[in-house]
Amino acid sequence: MPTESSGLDLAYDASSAPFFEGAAQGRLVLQRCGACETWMWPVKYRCVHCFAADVEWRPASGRATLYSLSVVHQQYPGFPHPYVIATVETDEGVRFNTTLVGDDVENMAIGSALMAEFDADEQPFTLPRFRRIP
Amino acid sequence: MTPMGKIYGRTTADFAAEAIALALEDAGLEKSDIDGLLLNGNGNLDMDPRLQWALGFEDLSLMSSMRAYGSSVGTMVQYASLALEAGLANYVVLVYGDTPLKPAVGAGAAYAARGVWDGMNVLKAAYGEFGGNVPYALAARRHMDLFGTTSEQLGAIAVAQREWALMNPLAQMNKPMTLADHQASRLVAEPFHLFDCCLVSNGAVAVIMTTAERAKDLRQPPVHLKAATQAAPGDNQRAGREPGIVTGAKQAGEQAFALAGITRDDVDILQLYDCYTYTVLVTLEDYGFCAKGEGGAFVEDGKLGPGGSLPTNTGGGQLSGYYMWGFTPLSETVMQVRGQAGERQVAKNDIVLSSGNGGVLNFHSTTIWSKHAD
Repeated sequence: MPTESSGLDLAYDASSAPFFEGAAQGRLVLQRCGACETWMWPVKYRCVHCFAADVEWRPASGRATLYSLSVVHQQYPGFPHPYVIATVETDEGVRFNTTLVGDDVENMAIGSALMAEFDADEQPFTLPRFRRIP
Repeated sequence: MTPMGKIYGRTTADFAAEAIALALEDAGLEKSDIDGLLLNGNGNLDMDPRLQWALGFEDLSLMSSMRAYGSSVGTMVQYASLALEAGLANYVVLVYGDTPLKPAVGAGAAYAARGVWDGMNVLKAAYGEFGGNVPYALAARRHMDLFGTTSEQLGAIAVAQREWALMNPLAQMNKPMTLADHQASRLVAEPFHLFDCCLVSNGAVAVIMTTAERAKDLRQPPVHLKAATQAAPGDNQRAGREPGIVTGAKQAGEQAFALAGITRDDVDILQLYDCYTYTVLVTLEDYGFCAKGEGGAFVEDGKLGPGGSLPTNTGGGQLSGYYMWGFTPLSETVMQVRGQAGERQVAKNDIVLSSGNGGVLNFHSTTIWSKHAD
């Protein structure tokens, strides 16, 4: 997460607000189809599977598996050097890019079991991060 | 095509105009012959339908800015060929131009600055996923984990392409590169070193398409289109969907081989979209030149380079030649099929396969070209 020194003025918009509001309350909130129960990475307006309009925001389990990761060596203002970007796949079957926390995350094995965690004091808004669980 | 690289102080429209003038001269056509204009929309404000006015084209019957990211080239060729076949246009200009490089701005910054942080895209800025390096690195790392692919194997692709570039006067990179140089180049986003990543270029490329009948009267030997296909597999955000591991090249390639009535063994030269070394490796697998997962072992013997059994990206590609999206492979395809590639000309040049790739392996196009009308 960049600090003010990153020069990026970040804010989320109304379409994605439930994700960020959920994160502020310590929950990974994703979208799910009320008709066929397919989980989706936001923002979708109809179900990616059955195309029903019944797409709702729901708290997910927060459990995920590490799908891939990259240690980023390019330097950007406000970011540590280096830092990690990871792709995770949640137990609900939704995949997205995020970051990892904990010891030696640069060498974390693909396939590691993860749990989302949240820092309610993070500025300008809380982001999900993932930590390896036994 | 125009000169490529760190050429400052010119607009994209200026480069595009020069590229089109060069293509007209090359073909032996006048501006007034042109009745179709397709622009490769790439986010550059000049690559917009209004470019027609800046170029002074009038009374066109085919005109559009087309955008499927790096796969646009094949969609443009496909659209132009269908329009030509239907008699909707007679001479269609396809053009790509860009000027991302400014004095004292690095390549990464040149593209990262274009980010738009709407919707969930704000997460990219928050986590630090700027530009294409990270998402492609994530796909490559996944491939490594699944199949044991190594950085040295990716490096073999970069080395082979540099060898080709050394014979291309249009290429931006003109110093030799060894595998050790590749390994010693700075890490960008693991597993990628700097030399796994494409260049950034200012410049433009224009290609003119017409019917085989009309081409007989033009100045250059014709390059016959045998197939133009697309595949857009979607994103990777659902479990079970892995366009970064099995790309659209599989579907588009199978369809293109069937349409052209050839097999991959008939292909003499490959011009594969190469935003990263990994893109070449995964595309080779998906076209079936080797089995899925065996791309690393397939390329490490240098067969893609000069003198190798599968000449690939013979102008140096976007890694060592110039970065004009799909117009890099297409421009080298034209030169090789015509037999005009100079020192780097491949002796057997009957069939050339050229690819486009966009997004993070989300959009693919395949075109197959021949020296022969049938």
